Amino acid sequence: MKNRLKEVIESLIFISLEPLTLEKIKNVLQEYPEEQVEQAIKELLESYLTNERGIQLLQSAGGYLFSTSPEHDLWIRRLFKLERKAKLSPAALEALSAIAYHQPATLAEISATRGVDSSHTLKTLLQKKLIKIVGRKKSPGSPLIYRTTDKFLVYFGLTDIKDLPSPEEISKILEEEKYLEKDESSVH
Amino acid sequence: MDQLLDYQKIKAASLLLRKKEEDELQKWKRTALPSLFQEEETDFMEVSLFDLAESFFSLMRKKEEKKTRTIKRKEFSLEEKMKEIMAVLKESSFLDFLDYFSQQESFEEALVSFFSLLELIKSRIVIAIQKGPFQPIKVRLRQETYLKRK
Repeated sequence: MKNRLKEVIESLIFISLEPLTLEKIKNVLQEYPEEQVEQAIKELLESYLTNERGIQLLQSAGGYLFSTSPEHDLWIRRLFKLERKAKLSPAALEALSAIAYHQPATLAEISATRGVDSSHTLKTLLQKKLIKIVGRKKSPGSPLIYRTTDKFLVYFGLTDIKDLPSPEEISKILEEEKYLEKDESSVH
Repeated sequence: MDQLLDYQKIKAASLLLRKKEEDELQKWKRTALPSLFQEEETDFMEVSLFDLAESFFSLMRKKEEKKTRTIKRKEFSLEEKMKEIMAVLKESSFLDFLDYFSQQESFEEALVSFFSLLELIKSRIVIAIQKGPFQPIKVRLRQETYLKRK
C-alpha cells in the first residue's frame, strides 16, 4: 500500500505543470495520514537520486517537479531544433536581483539602485512573468510595487526566496573582484 | 556611498544568479517547453488585420475611459518595438495580444507597438491566431521562421 502511495505521488507531480506543493499533495491524498504521505515523498526523492534515470525530481518554488538531466541538454535542444535557450540580458538580471533583494520594491528604488531608468527592463520582466505587481505604495504618486514570482524561483532553481545567494557569498565575490583589481594595478 | 555599495552587491548577486540560470537552463521542465509540439498551427485560424485593429482600438478606448493620460516625451521607434516583440516571443513562445497592449504606458507607445506588430505580420515573421471568434488573440512566431533561424 505504501509503495502505491509513492507511485500516486509520482503521477501527481508528473502531470503538474507547476511545482506541486506538499500541501496540494496532502489535499489530494486526504485519505492517507500526513506522515505517511511525507514518508512516501521522501522515498520517492531517494529513488530518483539512486536510480539511473533521465529524469530528476527537483524541489523548486516550494514544490516538487520533474526535469530532465542536465547532461541531456544537447539532445533535447536537437529535438526542439533549438540552438540554445535564451538567457536574460545583463540589465534584466541586474534589475531582477535588485527586486529580489529589496522586495517589495518600486521602479524608483530599482532605478536608484542601478543608477539607470529601469522602466523598460521591468516591463520585460513582467512579460516574462518573473516579477509581478503586488499593489501600490502609500507615498506620493502611489507608485506600483513589485515582487518576484514563483516562476522566478523555478527559473533559478530556488526552493525559496531565502535560497538567494547569501550576503557571505556576495561578499566573497566582491572580495575576489577587489583582489583582481589590486592584482591588475600592481602589474601596471 | 551606500547606494554604490548596494549596487556592487546587487551586481555581484546577479553574477551568482547568472551561474544558477546557466545550470537551470540545462534542465528542461514541462513548465518551460517551447511551443513547437504543444499546439498545431492548424488548430487556430489566422486573425485578419481588421479584427486586430478592432480589438486594438476597442482596448484603447476602454483604457482611455479608465484613466487620464500621462504625457511623456519619450520617443518609440518601430525598430525598437519590433525587437522588443521578437525578444518576448523568443522567450515565451507566444504573446497575448490584449495583455501586451494593456501594459503599454501611453497611447503613443501602444500605437507604435501596434504598427510594429503589423510590420512583423506583413513580413511573415509572426502570425496572429485565435481558436475561434471572440477567443483570445495570440501572436507567435511562424513555424517556418522558427525553423529557419537554426
